[in-house]
Amino acid sequence: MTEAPPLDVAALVRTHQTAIWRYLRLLGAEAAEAEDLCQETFLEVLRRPFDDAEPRATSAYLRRVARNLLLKRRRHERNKPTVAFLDQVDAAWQRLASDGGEEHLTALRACLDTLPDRTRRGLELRYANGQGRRDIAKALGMGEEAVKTMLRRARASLKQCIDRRMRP
Amino acid sequence: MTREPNTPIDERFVELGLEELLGGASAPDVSDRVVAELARSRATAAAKPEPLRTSAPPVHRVSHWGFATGAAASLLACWSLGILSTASSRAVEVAVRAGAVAAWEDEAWVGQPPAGRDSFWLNIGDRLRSQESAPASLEIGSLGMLSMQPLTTIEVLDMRWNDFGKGAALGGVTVAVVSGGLYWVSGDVNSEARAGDRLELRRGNPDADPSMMESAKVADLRDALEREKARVAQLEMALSRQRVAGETEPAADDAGTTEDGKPPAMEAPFHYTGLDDVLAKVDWASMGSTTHELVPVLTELAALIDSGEAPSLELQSKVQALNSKFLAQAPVIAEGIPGEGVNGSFSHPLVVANQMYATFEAAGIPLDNAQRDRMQALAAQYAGEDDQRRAGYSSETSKLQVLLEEMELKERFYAEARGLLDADQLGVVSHPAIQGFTGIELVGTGVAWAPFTRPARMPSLQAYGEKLSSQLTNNLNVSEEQAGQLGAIVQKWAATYPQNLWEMELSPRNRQRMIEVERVSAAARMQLGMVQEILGSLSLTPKQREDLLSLQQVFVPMRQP
Repeated sequence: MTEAPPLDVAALVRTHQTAIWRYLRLLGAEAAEAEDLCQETFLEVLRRPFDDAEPRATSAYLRRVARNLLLKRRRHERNKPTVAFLDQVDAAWQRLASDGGEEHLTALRACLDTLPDRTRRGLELRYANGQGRRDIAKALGMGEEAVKTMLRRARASLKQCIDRRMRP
Repeated sequence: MTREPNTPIDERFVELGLEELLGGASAPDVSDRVVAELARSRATAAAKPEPLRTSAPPVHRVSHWGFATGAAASLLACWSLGILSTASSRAVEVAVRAGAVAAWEDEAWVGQPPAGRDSFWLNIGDRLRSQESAPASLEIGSLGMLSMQPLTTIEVLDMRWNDFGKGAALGGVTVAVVSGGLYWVSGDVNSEARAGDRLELRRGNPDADPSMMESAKVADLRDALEREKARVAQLEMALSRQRVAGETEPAADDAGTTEDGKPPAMEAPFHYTGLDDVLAKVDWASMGSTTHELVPVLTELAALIDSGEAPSLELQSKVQALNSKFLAQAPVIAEGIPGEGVNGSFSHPLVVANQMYATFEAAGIPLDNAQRDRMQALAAQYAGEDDQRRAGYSSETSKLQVLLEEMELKERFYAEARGLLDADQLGVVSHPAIQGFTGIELVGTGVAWAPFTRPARMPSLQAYGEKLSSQLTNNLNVSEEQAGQLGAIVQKWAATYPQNLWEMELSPRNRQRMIEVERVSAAARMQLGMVQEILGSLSLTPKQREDLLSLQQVFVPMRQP
């Protein structure tokens, strides 16, 4: 019997960290908190004997630990995530991000190109510049309610487009 | 970014994707931190077979030298232009830009502050020595740059002060070279001295000065400010050496006891494993009553500065006196509480939580039980995060990144902690007039940013970039080819510096070096990006790399009207 090769911790972390970070973001963690929890997740797992036998199993295990750490952190908070919400996230993750979210991101990139210019500009002002509805409305010469509707429709349209592209 | 409420999961997926694609959000690379933390944990476990979770958090150890330097720059004290001082209190602030030096104290060489991280106060009679292995570069006040060869010893023989109006400006420092050799560069002055020589370190033509000083007038004002900071430092040093026995405050070494030798009356109500011993030594009653008294005084001071009036000597003296009460606690807090510099220790979540508690007690509006429980949980949570953060750094982590991340963590803590308070309590620890400014904010990151903030006024960002490029080129001692690359990176930084920050009008507070925290943190983030680009683009020697990684001052460009 040959001995298992030593675990390459850095490689393991690099392989899974983006997916874990995205998963934590989806669970509601802000970027900085997701980063902390991502690090904590790997430490929690790697402080004990760990066998990186199969990437999908490792990924699922890391997500489970990340989820528990988030819950632990939120347990005293009023807005702690409900079990139903967590289950919804897990189901959506299986459906849309079983590869860690790369395919979803690629589809989103392509779908963004199909949006009308003004809608795309509105999304850029919102997500690239971090502007609120009032500023976006001013920049695009629209009313605030119209901006709200436009952004909501844009996200719904992107979701449908992504679904079409990712459909097997 | 605030997300739309009740967003369905699929749309939430889309939103996060948009934040990544359009907003530039990206997953961090935590691999180095995880590897380092695991290595540290295993080393600890091997040395001490205790559960990792219960081990004491890493504690920031400050040497005697480090303490003296930190306290000199600590808390407030960057504004007091008008207080007159005696000749004996005159000292000059020295910043270590490269290498390290030791000071001769109590018959021994003590302390070696890391390059670029610390500054200290130099008095007549002081002796300094550079290391055996490397030269040292020291910025002497606003006079210029002193380069000491390895194993060079100097003694300060004299300081020349030019009196003007309300204060005095440093004109020169005369040193004797005991061993080794040194170079002095200040604008168009370039001198050399060897063992047995004596040399006056004097200011050259400011137009040719490679430092960030824009004019001799500003330099004079800064000198006057530094002189007053020296006064605070000397007071603190006097306290720490028990030379003021019998004064109203306990001496530094006795910070944990009252005059009659009994423990302080108020115990720290908030705890955290590994810090409790330190917290127990702090005189929280003094911390609380001082904060309670100082906030309205600072608010009054801010209003006077805003209106263009000169604060009275009485008011300035009051601030100094109250600030010295904080400094009396500095030996305990700085020695045992982690944080970047003394003010970093003072602004640690556990210290601030206890400080707020004590302040509310002094004000007669104590925290209720629910607030107390929540504050304990918050302080412990952020102290834990802080430990995790510190444990994740390596020798390849920029000190500026460490500082920035400490501030970001504290911002989150302060925001949550303020959210626990009612309006009356909030008003006692943080008046809107002083909130969000370095050098005057007490309960916020303004106090922690202050010692690292280096505002400089220039007519244009391009000119600022040229000065900064020149300074970095000199300090890092890069080749001509690399200087071109470095200059391009700095100019790119200048070109992308947020216009809204650059266009901000220079306020009377800004002229007193009270800078908006928002502006300082934005400048720090921009500067970190620049540092990382330099590290990634230039082929630096290990020494140059170390020097750049140790850069922790935040250069804040300000538009000269």
